[in-house]
Amino acid sequence: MSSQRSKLRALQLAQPLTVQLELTYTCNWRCVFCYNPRHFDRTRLSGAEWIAVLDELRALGTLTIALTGGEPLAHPDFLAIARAARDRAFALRIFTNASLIDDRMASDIAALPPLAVEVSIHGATAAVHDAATAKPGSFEAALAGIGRLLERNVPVLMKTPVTSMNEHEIDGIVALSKRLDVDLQIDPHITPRDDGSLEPLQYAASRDAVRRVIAMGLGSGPIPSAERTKGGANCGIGRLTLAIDAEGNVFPCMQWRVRPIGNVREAPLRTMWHDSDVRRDVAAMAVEVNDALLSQGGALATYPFCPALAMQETGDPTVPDASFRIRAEIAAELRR
Amino acid sequence: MTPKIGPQVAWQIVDGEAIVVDLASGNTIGLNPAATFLWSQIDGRHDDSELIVALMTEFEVSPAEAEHDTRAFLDEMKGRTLIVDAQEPR
Repeated sequence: MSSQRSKLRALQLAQPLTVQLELTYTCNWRCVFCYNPRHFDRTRLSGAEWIAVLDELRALGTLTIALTGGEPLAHPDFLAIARAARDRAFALRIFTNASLIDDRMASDIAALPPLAVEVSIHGATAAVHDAATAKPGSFEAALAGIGRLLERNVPVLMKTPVTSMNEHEIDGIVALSKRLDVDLQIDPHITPRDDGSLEPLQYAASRDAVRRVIAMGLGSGPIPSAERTKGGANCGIGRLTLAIDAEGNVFPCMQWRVRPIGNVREAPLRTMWHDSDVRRDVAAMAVEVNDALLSQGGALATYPFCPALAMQETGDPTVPDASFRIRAEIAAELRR
Repeated sequence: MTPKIGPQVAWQIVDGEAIVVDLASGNTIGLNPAATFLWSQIDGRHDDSELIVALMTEFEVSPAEAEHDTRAFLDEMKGRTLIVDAQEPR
């Protein structure tokens, strides 16, 4: 079975192949456009609780686990959780700012091994990067962490959301990734905070910068496009994806924070996944969204759409947000 | 040979067929139901002759066919470094 066919089958079966675990809200940076609503945990899941969750996810059919945060390395049991994920044959991604990766941690990560370590870099220079993170020295610390990973042949993906703060450094960011010899992904947009606040959007990049990023093919392909057929699903929400926050709340995807499916401390994951009305409703919503975009046709129908982000901005997951409209229009122009 | 799943591998089963990820290359392959059955038997304790018997029993095929298919599968997986011999010193 090809991996594409497997994914399609998993979509039909509602098998959550891809899961994000937000180990902690704690972070040693304070990025001005951060989507997390807070930087502390109230009742953080322990390492043992996360490992029990991993057992449940294995049984539920998950293939890829992303450890994220906050800063996942700030969880005191990060390594034990990462090792447990690999012991259970998950493909492991680590989303980190890399600043806490010393030589010992780099060796421990290399020994896992992960599928990739994805590192947030917010500029090509310390001045721009450190202004975004509000943490002096964070640029040098991140580059040092990346260097330690690369010395041990750990695959690193550099990830940069383009913002009004760094859009004048796009060429420099590309040059930096080439100098480091790592893959680069520049996100052409930033997202609202998970609590619904639109405050981060004040740092949105200009239309010209978004156009440049999309044209450069630094996102998810040469020029991102969506293939839609009537009755299909817009995305894997409620079927292929699942996210669990630092306190055990389970969501049908990382971005959809309207209502949790449940909490891992209160019910078995398998039960809440299969029996949840929230999950079923959002899975149905993904089909509704797909058909709504298809009926609109044109640029909006041919660009990847996130109903969760639309929900945060417009209050309706079927009503495209302004940022999506801009990106979809730019992509359509570029395809002509 | 006593096969064991390699250290740079991730995998999961979707609808009775395994998806196997080679973490070193990032490549993913899909296994058919017979190969998935064999993959699921690999534990670093059962050797190739035991896998042949297991396949023969599970799929009701002849000993010759089971041996051919098992050896071909193990050779391919070993060639891709998705499995290693648990008996070989590393």
